[in-house]
Amino acid sequence: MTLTRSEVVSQVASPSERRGPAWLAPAIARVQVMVDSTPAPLDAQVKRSVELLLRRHGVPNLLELVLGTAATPFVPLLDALARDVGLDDPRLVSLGEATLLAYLHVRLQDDVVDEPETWGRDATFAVEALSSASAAAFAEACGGESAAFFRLRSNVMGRFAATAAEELACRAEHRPLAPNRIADKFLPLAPCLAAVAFAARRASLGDPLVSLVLTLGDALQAANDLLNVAEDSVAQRRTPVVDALEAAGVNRAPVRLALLSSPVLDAWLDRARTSLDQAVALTQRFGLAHLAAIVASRRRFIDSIPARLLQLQLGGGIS
Amino acid sequence: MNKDPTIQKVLDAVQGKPEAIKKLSAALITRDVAKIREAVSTSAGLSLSEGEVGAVLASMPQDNAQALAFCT
Repeated sequence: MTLTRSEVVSQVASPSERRGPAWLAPAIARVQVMVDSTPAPLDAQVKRSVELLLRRHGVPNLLELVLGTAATPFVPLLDALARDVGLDDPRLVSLGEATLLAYLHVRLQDDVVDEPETWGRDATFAVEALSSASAAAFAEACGGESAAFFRLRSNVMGRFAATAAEELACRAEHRPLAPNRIADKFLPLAPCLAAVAFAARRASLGDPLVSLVLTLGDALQAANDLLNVAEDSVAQRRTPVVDALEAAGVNRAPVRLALLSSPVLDAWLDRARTSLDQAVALTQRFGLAHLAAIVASRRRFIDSIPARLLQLQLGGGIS
Repeated sequence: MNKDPTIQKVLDAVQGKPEAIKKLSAALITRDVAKIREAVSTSAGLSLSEGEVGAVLASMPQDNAQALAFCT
């Protein structure tokens, strides 16, 4: 049976079957409705982008994708913030839907930019379809606060787009993105969290949440660049970590082992931990206790990076 | 989880020991069996035979093009 978008809000699994917060399954169901109902010929591109994303992560469906350890951290962050601001109604389904669509939008956009020959020009319109559907779901959740929310979203996504364009220029000129801009890659998460605050009529949290995403994003992007050092090196992507290794004269293969035995690793782990501590302090300052706990829990992930790198080098993959 | 028990044994031995990981990595770069055995023994308290070290070395890819689907 195919459900309409308005029907899926009631499709909450029983507590024994539920995985993730209660709003997650109906939010994903709504996204699936959007994917399934995209008009031809765009439907093929939208479906293909989702299938490719699932295949890359080795998961069978969107639920497994967003609950996976290596996927976007938006589910626990969004849920924790909702608890902090006392939002517990069907608007959470719209927020989850909007956020997942925003994630799919940004991922497809990245793919189209990175692999234009694979996707073709018509994929640009699939990006537009995902972005528009995400915006509509955000508006549904934010209601009367929508104008203020979309102003914030415009500012944030404008900065994100500028950094994405700068990264392309960096690649063309074989120079690294400035280290103080790596966190910008996480900016699309900021409107998603801010929308929770706007929906709860806590608009004053909007800018602090953008700051939170930038500090948390600095920690997580540093972690990304450390874990992906071998792939970035092979692809000649001059990330700040690859650049730091070269500057330190550590450019021999295998690059993961070179990183593991180099002070560059310690420096970047320190940076990630410092940024994470700042993110925790920021959330605590605004009384967001649940969010602070989720952010703080990422410390274990950062601490595990040396072991994960060694495991990858020895052929074990990420457990 | 690694399928190779030797590799898993090494990973378990250095788990939570950043300095041991650092010394083992430096030794692995050299591919010198004696240095690897000494690094694992002194920093992680694990005794490996030459054959086991060979298994560890064999597990390492010859290039760095190992796929890693890590993204946020």
